[in-house]
Amino acid sequence: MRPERDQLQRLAAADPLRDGERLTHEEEREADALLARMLATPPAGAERNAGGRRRVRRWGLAAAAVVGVAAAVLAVTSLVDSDAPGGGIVERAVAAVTREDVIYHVVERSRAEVSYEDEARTIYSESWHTSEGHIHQRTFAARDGRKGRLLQDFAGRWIPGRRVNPLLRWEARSNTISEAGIGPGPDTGAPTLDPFTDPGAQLRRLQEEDRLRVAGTTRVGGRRAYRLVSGPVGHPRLGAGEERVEFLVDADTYLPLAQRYSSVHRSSDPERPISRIDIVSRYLVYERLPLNERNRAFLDLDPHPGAKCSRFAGELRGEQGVGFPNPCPPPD
Amino acid sequence: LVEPTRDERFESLFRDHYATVRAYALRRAPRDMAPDVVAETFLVAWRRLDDVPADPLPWLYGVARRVLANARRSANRGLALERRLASAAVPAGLGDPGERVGEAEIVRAALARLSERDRETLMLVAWEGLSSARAARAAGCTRAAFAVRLHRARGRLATQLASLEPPAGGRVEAQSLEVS
Repeated sequence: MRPERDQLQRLAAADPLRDGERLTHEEEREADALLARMLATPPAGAERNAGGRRRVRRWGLAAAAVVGVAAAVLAVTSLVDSDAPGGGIVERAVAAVTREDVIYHVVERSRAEVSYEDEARTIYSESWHTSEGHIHQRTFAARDGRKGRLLQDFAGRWIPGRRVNPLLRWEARSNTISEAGIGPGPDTGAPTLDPFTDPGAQLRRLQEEDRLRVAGTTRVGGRRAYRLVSGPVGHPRLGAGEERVEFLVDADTYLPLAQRYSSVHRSSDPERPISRIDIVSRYLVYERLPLNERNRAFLDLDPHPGAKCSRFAGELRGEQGVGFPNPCPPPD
Repeated sequence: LVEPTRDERFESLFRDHYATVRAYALRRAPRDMAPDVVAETFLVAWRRLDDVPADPLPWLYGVARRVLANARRSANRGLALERRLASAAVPAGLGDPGERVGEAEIVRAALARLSERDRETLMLVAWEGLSSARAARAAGCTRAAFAVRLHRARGRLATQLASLEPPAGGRVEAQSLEVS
């Protein structure tokens, strides 16, 4: 016979989060970033006092609309505050991600749905990049709705005038560092975007191509945000398809809060006449770090003890190099 | 003495209670949803800082509870907690019908079968560790009303536990704990 115990004691012992109040270093950073964003938000106390309870209730309704994953956030944007703000928003958003005196640090959760895969995939990434083109990104699997094991790590840089740029990529599966390229590839003369790279570079590219328009405001994670929308635009690589991009940028700091990228590709392949890609990224942290020697180290590929090097990984040096000391030996 | 500024008051509130509010959200919402619930809760606190009482934690829990309820309604996530608890209640070895199910899984499965109000009442006391008086403030009711709610919720939890308990010396099949 099971001994009788008080239900509340049994329930307390079944708490799935008994250590839940301990924050990891990364969670502390996320908390700091959230606090900084909150303090940058006008408290709007005067508005609340003037509006009384009715305004509070309206705020509550708006709050209800913004809670949820980024996909839900993006889905409701058209229902909230359709007032189109004035000009200069795009320029300010681009300027916010283009400062030369900082390193941008981004933590994001991305959910990708691809029509020819059975399940949507969620990945986490943490990246550091500069407006002059250095980028270092770690990609993690998602596990139980949070960041899981490290899948890959890459670092490199964009070199002015080149469409394929050098980077070194470490892959967990093989524990190998190999040479790779980053960039839009051969110039097709058409607009394209790589939704997996630096969001700042994406915004700059969209502005250069005059593709962005302001489509009102919404709220993301409690922050007022501008909707910057591009598309639909056609692209030769997409056949008769098209792509759309939507950035949600913070209305106070102009830093990105979320992004949605979707493309439709129509092809002559009878098995896959239409392919759809839908990626929703939520930027959990988007912060500027001072560009000093200590922070510059974030731009280097992480050390991966015991990693093998591919045959040509050591070639990326000097002017054509990756922008940090290459850990692989030069080829014989 | 210098009065703390509004920013300093909020920063103190945030640093003192961020982790506990986060834990509250994580116990009730999917992991991908919890950060937004926490952000929304503290944004309400930031905007209504002058309304935050001297004992802010029950007030913050109350705000988080409403944010969660609204989120569930608006995003059709009403079953999120049930799914989460059910998923926690069903061990990875679901395919093995003879697998032993632990005490914690049984208790969480019993909890998942209760109404949302009963769950919240019990969780505020057992998981958030609040006294009845503070839990009543978090739940938005009087102490007397909360005491009645707690008494009834305990009874209903006991009933569910009894239905899930393995017989003496017996084993529970994992499948029996699925909650629809």
